[in-house]
Amino acid sequence: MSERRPPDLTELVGDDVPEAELANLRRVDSLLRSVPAPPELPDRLAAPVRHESRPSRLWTPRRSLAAVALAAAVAALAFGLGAWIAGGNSFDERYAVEMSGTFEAPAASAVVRLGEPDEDGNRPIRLEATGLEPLPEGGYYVLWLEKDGEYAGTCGTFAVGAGDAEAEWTVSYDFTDYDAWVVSARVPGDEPADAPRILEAEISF
Amino acid sequence: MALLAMATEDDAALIQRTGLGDRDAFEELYRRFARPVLGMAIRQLGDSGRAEDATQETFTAIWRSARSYRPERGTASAWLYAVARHAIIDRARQRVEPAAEAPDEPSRDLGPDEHAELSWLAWRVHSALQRLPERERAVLELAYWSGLSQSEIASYLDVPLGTVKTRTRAGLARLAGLLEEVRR
Repeated sequence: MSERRPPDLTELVGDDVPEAELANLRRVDSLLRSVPAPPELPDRLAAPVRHESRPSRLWTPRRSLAAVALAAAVAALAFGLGAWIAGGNSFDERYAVEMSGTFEAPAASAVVRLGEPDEDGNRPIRLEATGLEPLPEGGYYVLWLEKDGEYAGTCGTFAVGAGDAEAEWTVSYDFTDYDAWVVSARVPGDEPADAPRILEAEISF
Repeated sequence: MALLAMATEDDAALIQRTGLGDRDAFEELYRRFARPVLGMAIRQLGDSGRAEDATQETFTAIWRSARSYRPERGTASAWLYAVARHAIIDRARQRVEPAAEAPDEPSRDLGPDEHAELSWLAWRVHSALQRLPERERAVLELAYWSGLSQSEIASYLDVPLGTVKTRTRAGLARLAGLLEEVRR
């Protein structure tokens, strides 16, 4: 890139530009002088890489139907077994939300299940996640409630072994105060604020 | 969708259509943002080969995660910047030796805050440039970064000197509007 500086603005656009317009152009002129040149794209980047798969493949209508059918069958079996084994002492689910993987973990997904709150407002919450990567030693995942784009309330932490995880906590939040569920990955040595978003879902009661 | 109509479509709409699997929308996003992403990657990684890899990874991430974009949470440009930043950081973490600093002249002797500010500013300016008509963009890039004089640009493009000044003026005015749009 040349070291020669660009000519003055009036030389670039001519000296017959009204002062009001010139002031507007001067702001842009100043910005252009303050940034480096945009690079030319090499041949390799002339066009985007072809992606054969479409986004949102995890929950295509066909897969969703199959998943619903499978989930219903599994739930019925689990309920029957649970009731048989534990005498009916299973998680008393009142609400469930599906979380989907961000670009950090597009193959991951999870379900957050909320139980019935007790008389003091303590509510059991269960997370069932699949497709998550095991984190380096000392790392863990965190289920958050997000407000205005910030991690605002912690529901709990969990670790992942072979890609699947199930964790259960009790929380006392009013979920309507928050915008979204988020799972982040906390890796030792990284700042908490830099913890990448791995799973997310909007809160909509 | 007609190419002309898509060229004027805002970034948020393009991301949302990409989230639905619309390849034309994705390619328009690529046309607008590939150079800003590559510029950012070169500044962060200091290595053109790795920067090109990071650029490809950024667009893979955009294709996969576009459906998670929520316009009410921020501008499209900021979302794309964040996706690019993540991909570039991931690429930087893969190297054994410490990441090289950018060789760009404006980033010399800058602290982390100033570096981040310059990175965001360059992103905004470069992506706005990509929205200009080709004839205006070419004149501006030659005027500001080639070192050519206006007369040399006129000769290089084989157009009258007055046309170069007219295009420069029009391009700067359009760029002012686009940069204001990004800031909203």
